Amino acid sequence: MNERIYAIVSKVFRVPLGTIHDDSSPDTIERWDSLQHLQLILALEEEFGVQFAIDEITAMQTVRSISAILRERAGANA
Amino acid sequence: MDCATLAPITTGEPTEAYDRLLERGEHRAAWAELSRVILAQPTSANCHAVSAAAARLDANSADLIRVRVAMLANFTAEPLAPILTARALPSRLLLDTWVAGYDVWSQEILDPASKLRAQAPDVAILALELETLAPALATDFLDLSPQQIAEQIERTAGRVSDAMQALRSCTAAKVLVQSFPRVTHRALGIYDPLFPQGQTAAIRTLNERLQETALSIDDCFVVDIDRLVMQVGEAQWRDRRLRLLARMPLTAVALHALAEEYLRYLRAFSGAVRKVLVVDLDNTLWGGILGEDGIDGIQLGETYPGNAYVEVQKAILALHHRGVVLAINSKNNADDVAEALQRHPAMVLRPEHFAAMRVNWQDKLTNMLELSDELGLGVESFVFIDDSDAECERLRQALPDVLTIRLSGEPAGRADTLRNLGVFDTLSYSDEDRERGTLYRREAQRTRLRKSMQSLEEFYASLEMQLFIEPLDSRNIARAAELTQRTNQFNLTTRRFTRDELAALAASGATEAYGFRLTDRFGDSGMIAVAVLAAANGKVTIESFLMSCRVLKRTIEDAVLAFLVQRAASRGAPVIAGLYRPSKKNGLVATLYPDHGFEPAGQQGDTHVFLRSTQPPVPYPSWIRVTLAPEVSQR
Repeated sequence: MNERIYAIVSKVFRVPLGTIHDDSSPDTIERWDSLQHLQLILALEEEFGVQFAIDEITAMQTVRSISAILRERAGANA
Repeated sequence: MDCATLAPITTGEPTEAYDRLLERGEHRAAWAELSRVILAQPTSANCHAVSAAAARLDANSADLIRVRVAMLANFTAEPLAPILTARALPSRLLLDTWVAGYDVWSQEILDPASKLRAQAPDVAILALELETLAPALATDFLDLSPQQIAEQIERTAGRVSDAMQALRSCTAAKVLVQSFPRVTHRALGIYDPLFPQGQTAAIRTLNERLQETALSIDDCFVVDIDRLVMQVGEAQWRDRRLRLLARMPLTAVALHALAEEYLRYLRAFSGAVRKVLVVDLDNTLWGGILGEDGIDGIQLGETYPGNAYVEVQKAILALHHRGVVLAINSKNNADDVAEALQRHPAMVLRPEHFAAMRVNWQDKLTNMLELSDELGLGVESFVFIDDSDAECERLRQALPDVLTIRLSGEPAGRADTLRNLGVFDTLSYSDEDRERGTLYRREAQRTRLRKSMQSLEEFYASLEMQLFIEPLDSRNIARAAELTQRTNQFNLTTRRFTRDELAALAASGATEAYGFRLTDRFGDSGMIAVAVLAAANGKVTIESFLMSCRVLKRTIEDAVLAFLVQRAASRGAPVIAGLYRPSKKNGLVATLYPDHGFEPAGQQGDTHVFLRSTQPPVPYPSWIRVTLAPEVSQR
């Protein structure tokens, strides 16, 4: 799952795959502003077929938190 | 396309192959690679990667059409830009999309120093959401009195109409304006449509005003959002959370649907419209394999899956009537196919619907190139449908310009897939569109005939051409005017005439205006040339002479010139003058007059003058039978 998240982050923010890690955030990725965050959400929802709640969207401030939220969703559906 | 059901993206940069091609300077191949990526998986994430990568393409080397797009919206429209840009690539369009700031559309349009004007867009899109534009009409409807409702409608319609007019005067762009979709939660519920001052009526009035304004402005079009919402489903269209969080009211599905709809217009504006549909036969037009199952064994008829294939054929026939040229590219026995197309009782498509066919055992790539040659249309205007994965992949690799679509899955959904292909959309529909299939079929027949002839003269003679020369009058003047408007290549002076202007020339004693109609063994081509002679001080001048590019290379211009010189002689003029005004497109007639014995005689401004004595006459080609309308031969 992490691979898929990294791939999306890489494409949306146009940064090389190799530069992404769990602590990647708006602080480490220049293009990650609120507008791009919106684009990231759209891409993640499309990829994983989910719809995030508003507080989940605002909570996703690092790649790690994105992972965690998605895992919880997957766990809940298991 | 339903993105949610696409397979997950593989890891690794989707643009690796592209990067390598670009490094080697192969822009055309690089574009083909990006197109392939986005056609295979048009996910939002891929759209980001592809649109960013596309920015490095050189439009000229890659043979792409640059289009500058400006988006003016009252919601957060930025997410639309990469989706639009990426999806435009397979149509050979390279977009430069600028999105104005949130809800500053009015200022951008009215401010003379605005960024919008500096952008000089080719296309400007005005996307206004009713909830933000006129909240009273959208959500607070019942707070208003009927009087207030009427005022709100007037004010809102006025604002948008003014914006459309102002857009027209401050840019040369084509303007697209979104319509206001019907509300699903009507203010008065089931009573709403029955109540004249209801919300349903209010929104309908707004849209009517929008349409009225659009019709009154050149190059301004209303984009029907209702239809898109219907296609996608309201629940799938609107995103309440994102609207509240980021003022972006659309789902990803909606963004993709919107982008595809805008693309239909962009293609039509840029001439990137597809013109030809090439079809495979087995398991495409019918179920089964003709060569194995025989004409009685293929699935085509009233029961499933035969009826699904009947629907597919009907969808293709509808395209034919719209002006799309049909062709066949199939590995089959030509006789079997001819018999099936002619005799199968449930066959909807018949031989006369196809302009050209390649039914043989050679490879489909070669067939495709031969079809392009025979039809005289470039492969970039082709769409190819086939059920075979291998064939489709091969064609995509070898001819990336062709839009290759694999019709797979249940036959039941395929007719809709064909109907939803927005790639044939144009912004007009005329008799010529209706006739186009037939015209191309006849032209292909002529091409095949020419290839089978030993000499050109033999070919011309075998065409059995007849040229009818008529004066312009009320019966043919509209067609003549249209010809002067549209003909660019074989046009000596590129003078455009309206009906009224031609009528005046026809009526005047000092000018003569003629229409030239051609028939040959394959059919009637209608009026294919127009000429205007002016007589002054004993001299006759060919003021205007133009001919349709469809009848080039058949020596018809020789017959026309023979007639015009003969006319000058019968008016008693010893000399006839021919005028040639060079343009970007009429280089092919630069030597027309010298080739027929005219001598250069200087220039008048940018127009070259050529003179010829009216004796000896210019000979009529022996293989064209020329008939003068009675009014003409009596002059």
